[in-house]
Amino acid sequence: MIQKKICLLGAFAVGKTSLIVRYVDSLFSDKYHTTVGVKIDKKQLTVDDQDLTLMIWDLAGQDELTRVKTSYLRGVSGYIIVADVTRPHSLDIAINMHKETREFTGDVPFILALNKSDLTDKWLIDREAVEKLRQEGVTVINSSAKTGEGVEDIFEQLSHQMLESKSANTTKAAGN
Amino acid sequence: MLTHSQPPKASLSETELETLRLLLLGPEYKELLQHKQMLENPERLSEHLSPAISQALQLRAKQDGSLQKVLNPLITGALLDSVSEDPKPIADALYPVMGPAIRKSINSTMSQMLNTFNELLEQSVSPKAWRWRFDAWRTGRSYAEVVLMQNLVYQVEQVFLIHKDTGLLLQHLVADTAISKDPDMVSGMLTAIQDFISDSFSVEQNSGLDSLRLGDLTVLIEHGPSAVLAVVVRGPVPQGLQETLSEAIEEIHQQENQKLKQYDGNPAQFEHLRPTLTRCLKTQKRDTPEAEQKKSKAAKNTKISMRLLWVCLPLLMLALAYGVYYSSNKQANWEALQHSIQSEPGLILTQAVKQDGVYHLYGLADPLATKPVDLVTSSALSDKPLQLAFKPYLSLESDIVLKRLNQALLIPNSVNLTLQNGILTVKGSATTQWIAEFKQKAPMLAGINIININQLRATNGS
Repeated sequence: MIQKKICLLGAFAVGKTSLIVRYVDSLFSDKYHTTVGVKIDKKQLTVDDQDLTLMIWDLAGQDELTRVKTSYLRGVSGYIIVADVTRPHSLDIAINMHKETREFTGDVPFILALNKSDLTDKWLIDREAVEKLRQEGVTVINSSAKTGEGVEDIFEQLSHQMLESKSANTTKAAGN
Repeated sequence: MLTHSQPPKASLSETELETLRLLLLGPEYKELLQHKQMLENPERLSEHLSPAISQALQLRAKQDGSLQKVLNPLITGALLDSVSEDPKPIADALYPVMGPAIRKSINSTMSQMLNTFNELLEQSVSPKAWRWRFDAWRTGRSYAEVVLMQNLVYQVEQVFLIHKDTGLLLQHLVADTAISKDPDMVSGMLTAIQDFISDSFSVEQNSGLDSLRLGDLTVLIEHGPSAVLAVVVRGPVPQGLQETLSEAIEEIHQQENQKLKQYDGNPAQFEHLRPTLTRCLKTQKRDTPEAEQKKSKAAKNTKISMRLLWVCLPLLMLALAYGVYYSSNKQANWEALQHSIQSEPGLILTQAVKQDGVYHLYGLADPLATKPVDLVTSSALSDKPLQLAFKPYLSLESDIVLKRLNQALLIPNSVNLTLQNGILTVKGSATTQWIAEFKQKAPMLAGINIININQLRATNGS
């Protein structure tokens, strides 16, 4: 069994917590968001024949004026950034957060989740911008807290990428 | 509602309306009017309701608890008002209740304390107690404090070994009787809280949370560079636990520094640290009745052995004292013997030693002196193994010279001899013959330099 720490980031009310709530084990209530600024959940899954325990640090929603709390990012193996398809501004915030996080964590695997994707007629995010990101190599997954679409996929893909990068690092080390 | 079939030409006057009402409503009208007035008049309404109120409340209370709920805040508010205005009536009312309750609580606390003190007194001469005294002296705390800390009841319920950066749980131990909630999430949250505090309050770089306290629960946290050790203690924290934690975390870092710095996410590689962590899982429980009995029996045994000790100890002291006295006495006797030999004219003591339990005396003895062996037999060491080795010599001490003189010449009773500083003074009377012999022989003796016979009278005799 391997343990990994991952972070869940995103603007206010993009639905991060409701997105994952049915797929994770929880011990603490949401009030920790407003008090400590983070809530810990656990997800256990098997990917590529490897048992994984993901400790999910669900960070309180950010706005553009707040910097990402880097202390909570220490030691992170991967992260998920959530944007709300009905609010284009949330995508800008998401991209900013991604940049700030990257500064701190370096090149770790990440997933961009476009939440509330079931509200197809309210979709306001610039689809071209999303396509551009995909072409740049960003893994973008459409998700919905309501239908549950995409959630398992997010965790599996992120886990897969994390395991891959780990073995890449070890082969790199072995090769030297 | 009255509706006019024809447009009103003129409004009816008040009295006309009154008459109309009377006609329509009949005699009950007056009653109804009275009721209406009563409802509108608070005084009269109170009067009207007052007989029924108590009963109504009673009936309502029987139905459901809504009355209680409604009255609750009112009563609390009323009490607060009353106390803030003048606390005395409430205090007086509570006084008969509070007195016994307080006394009862004090009694139970005191008897508990007395039990503890009893145990302490019984243990006060045990080796444990001496160690506690030493600890108290060393740490600068009072003896009572140290003892109480040792005897109180506590349990270390859980031990967490947490990776510092990620908050991932490396190892977790739970005591048998304790409950633990999902330890992975707890350790993550514990790390998050520490990050939160460092972020929110300006703290020294590299300082960490040491302890969290809530009621009788304490979480002790010991920081290492790459990992953190946290324990959950229920009850008073025992002395030495923080030290145990420091030692454990240092040991762990020493053994696993590399693995911790570059943690790859596999906690199984730290399984072998469990024995180290188990050391932190200490417990001191309050005894069960059987254990209490065993303890009291053991205490009784200790008491008996204590009594024996108190009896034997004086005897021991006595024996010791006697031993000391005896050996010092022997020494005194030995010295006295040496002194008596030394002061005996004609004897010179050159060496006095005790070897292998035998006393040895070495020296010189003039043949005319008292034999050393006689001095020994008359001393207190007469029964001791003694060896004498005295070589002969010629003494010039006055007593000996006189003795020698006596041997050489028979000194008559009428003659009195004194020898001092080599001057022989002769007094008394003797025959001329004797005097002639004396004049001849006396000067030949060593030790006699001058002879004074001025006071010697010659007598005529044969």
